[in-house]
Amino acid sequence: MILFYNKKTGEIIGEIEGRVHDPLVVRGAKISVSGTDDKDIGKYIVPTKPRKQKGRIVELVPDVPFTDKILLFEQDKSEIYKHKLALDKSGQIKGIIKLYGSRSG
Amino acid sequence: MTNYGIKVSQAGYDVKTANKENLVFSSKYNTLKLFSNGSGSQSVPAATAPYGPPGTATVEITHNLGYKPAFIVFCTSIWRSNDKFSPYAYKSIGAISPDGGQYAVDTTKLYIHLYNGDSGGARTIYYRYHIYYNEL
Repeated sequence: MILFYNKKTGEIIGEIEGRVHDPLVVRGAKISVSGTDDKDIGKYIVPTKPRKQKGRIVELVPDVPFTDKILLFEQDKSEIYKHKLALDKSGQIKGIIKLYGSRSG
Repeated sequence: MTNYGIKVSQAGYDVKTANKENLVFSSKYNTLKLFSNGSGSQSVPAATAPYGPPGTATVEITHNLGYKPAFIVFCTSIWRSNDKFSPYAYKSIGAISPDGGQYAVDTTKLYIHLYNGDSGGARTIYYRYHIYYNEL
């Protein structure tokens, strides 16, 4: 999964599904939206690690402290936009926080 | 001519004799091949007046394929619940403003134009898209 977010607020504005992507997507995919400068939109490629069974890689799984949230997002896309990224002062992603009631349509 | 390829039949049908409508896959026929798919959430400003021009917002998704790919987009409408997605812009009878989305693609980007026909305030529209390797 690739998450696009507002670097100032942590708001998630879009995502690309999947744990494996075409190199063109990894390198070049971006989202531009009205009202937000491109330089303020971050792109976070969720790291993965191989899961092995009997010595063989059977799947790639998210390799982050908030794996439960990524798995939730994979199961139910509407959940993505009920959350935001928690960023530290340097802009690094610390976690994912549930939003309450502020982003209904 | 050598007959070669891959076929998979539906359960209950012999793959060697099944008609094409009873196959779940055959390499004899072209298929849509997914390049990427995703979703997004976009705030769209209010319409300027009741029944007047809608508020608009544009989302641009860069694909960089170098040709115009086949694609499909679905989005929510401010007049429906957010679990209902439609592939076209909705316009109620007599209304000037469309609501929902219209879409376009070129050799580098997918463009999603979103409309808010409600003058009461900005609204969030959710969209989902698929971009295919197949050329339009």
